[in-house]
Amino acid sequence: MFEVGKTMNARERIMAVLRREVPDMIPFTIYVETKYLSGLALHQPWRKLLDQGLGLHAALAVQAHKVNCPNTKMDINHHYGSLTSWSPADIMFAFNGPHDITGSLNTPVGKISIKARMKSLDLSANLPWFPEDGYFLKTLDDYEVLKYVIEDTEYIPFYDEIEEFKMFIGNFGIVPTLVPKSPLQSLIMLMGPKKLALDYYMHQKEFDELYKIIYKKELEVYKIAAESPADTIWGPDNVTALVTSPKFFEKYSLPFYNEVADIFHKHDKIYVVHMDGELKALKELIAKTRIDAIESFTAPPVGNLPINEAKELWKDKVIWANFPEPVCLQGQKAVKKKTMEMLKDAAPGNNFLMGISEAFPSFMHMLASVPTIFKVILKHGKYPISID
Amino acid sequence: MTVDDIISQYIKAVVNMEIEMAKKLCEDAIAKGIHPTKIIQEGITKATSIISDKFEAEEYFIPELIMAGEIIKETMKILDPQIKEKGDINALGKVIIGTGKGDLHDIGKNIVKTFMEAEGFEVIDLGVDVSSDKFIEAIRTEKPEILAISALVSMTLPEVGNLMKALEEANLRKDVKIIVGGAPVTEEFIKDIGADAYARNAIDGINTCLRWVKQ
Repeated sequence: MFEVGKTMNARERIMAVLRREVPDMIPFTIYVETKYLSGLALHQPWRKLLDQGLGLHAALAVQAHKVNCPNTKMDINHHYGSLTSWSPADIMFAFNGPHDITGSLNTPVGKISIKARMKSLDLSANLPWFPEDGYFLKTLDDYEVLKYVIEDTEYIPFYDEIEEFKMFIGNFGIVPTLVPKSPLQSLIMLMGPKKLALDYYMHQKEFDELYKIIYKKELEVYKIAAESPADTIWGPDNVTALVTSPKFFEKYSLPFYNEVADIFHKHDKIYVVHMDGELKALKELIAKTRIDAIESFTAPPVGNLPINEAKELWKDKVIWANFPEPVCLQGQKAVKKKTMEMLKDAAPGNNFLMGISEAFPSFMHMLASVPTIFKVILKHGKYPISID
Repeated sequence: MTVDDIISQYIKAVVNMEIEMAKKLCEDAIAKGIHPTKIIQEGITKATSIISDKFEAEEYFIPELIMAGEIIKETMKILDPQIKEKGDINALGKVIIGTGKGDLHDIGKNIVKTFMEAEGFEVIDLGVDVSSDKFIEAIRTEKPEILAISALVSMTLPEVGNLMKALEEANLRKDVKIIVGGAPVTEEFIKDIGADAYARNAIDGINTCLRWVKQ
């Protein structure tokens, strides 16, 4: 338990809030993946910000499992067009440049394929789920192939990377276990929002059968995560009511969230789910989940649920609020004002963290805004928050 | 069934997301000799208006807009040959639509396009990741009343600002009303870049465009 009057390090501060305990100040975090770690450790302003208590959230860094589908062959081809060179070094650099990929999963019952445009191989920033042909599930026949692949999947526990990454991050932040998106969100990734809507209304039998298979299979991997050495589990769900409407959420998401939350709680794990969209229409349903923390909660003007309203309704939950990044386009005065507003809305600040969990318009915008936000938090974010 | 019954049943089918029923009723209407304009004006437009109201009331969401859009598209496939034969539909106005540079998300844009067409607009879809040059060329060639831009990622916002500047430089800004929508777009952003309107969502955007052309 935290001793009042003592200063916490970033990890202690984040964990205190996630355990619904009292922090010394509101934690403020940024995402971190391997490639940024050396930059953060060596270069200003990051080094100074870290020393002042900026927290690292390694949300996308490690999984607790390895996966294999023994009877499925996966072929992925990367197409770089005219981005060519004879130099191995150039080619290595080109790998991470914009390009197209085509891929297929070949099974004894058929083949499913994707074609997607990728900005880079950095999946944390550029998951290729948006183009129309970037989805495996395109026709009714694809359902059978996909069901085969899912049932063919074997998950093997693998905890070494969590320990390794925890050592890298140390007291600067936390390393959750990244689990696959929950079954409904996985379906959106596999078929896209358009087909999700059309098949829900036109082919509900096939839709529900596939959903049940994903649900059952994901319980296996979520159980592996529950037994991992991580303190927290992070579900990358990108929930927004616009696509995951209350009807979908109640029928599909709520039962899954509660079943896995109970598994995690039995293993003393904190269940954090990324919900970065419009949540107002889902607020009562989210209140019914046993999720511990709603991460990337995005306040207006980008989201549509104010922090104080969410806090009022979700008394047992932690809100990990994302700073609505388009505000930075109005300048640093607006960033400062918005940060103050968010702290005021969250006052006294129990069960509340702030973070950067969505993309800024550019790296330069992030470079300018993160120190501004953190400066305001250092000045006004001491717990309990008291802003007139 | 009377003509009014068929049209009212058609509206009900669209609102209840019953695609096969809606198609059958549309075919019945044609077989009964109902003019396609009547089906569009009294059937499709009324159905989209009910769906829009339900969306605004948070009773319907994107899946319902997508499904309703699909039903309307299928209905229009049945009506198109009749419309071409009779040749008497006047468009409300011409709209150029596309997602801003760097944005590959097309769901919102496609919903806006379908519902706008259902309302009677002629929509020219430039697709996704559209450069300023491509928007400008299309405006010069097509001379639309409205330019609708979708931006779902923050990184596209500066590009939308650049497009506004490029339109000024090309002396085209005053020729076209500009509306911008997408999750990271805010009222302040619209004011800063000098666009004409902010679309809170697809339906809000269409209503704004309808107001413009009916003024």
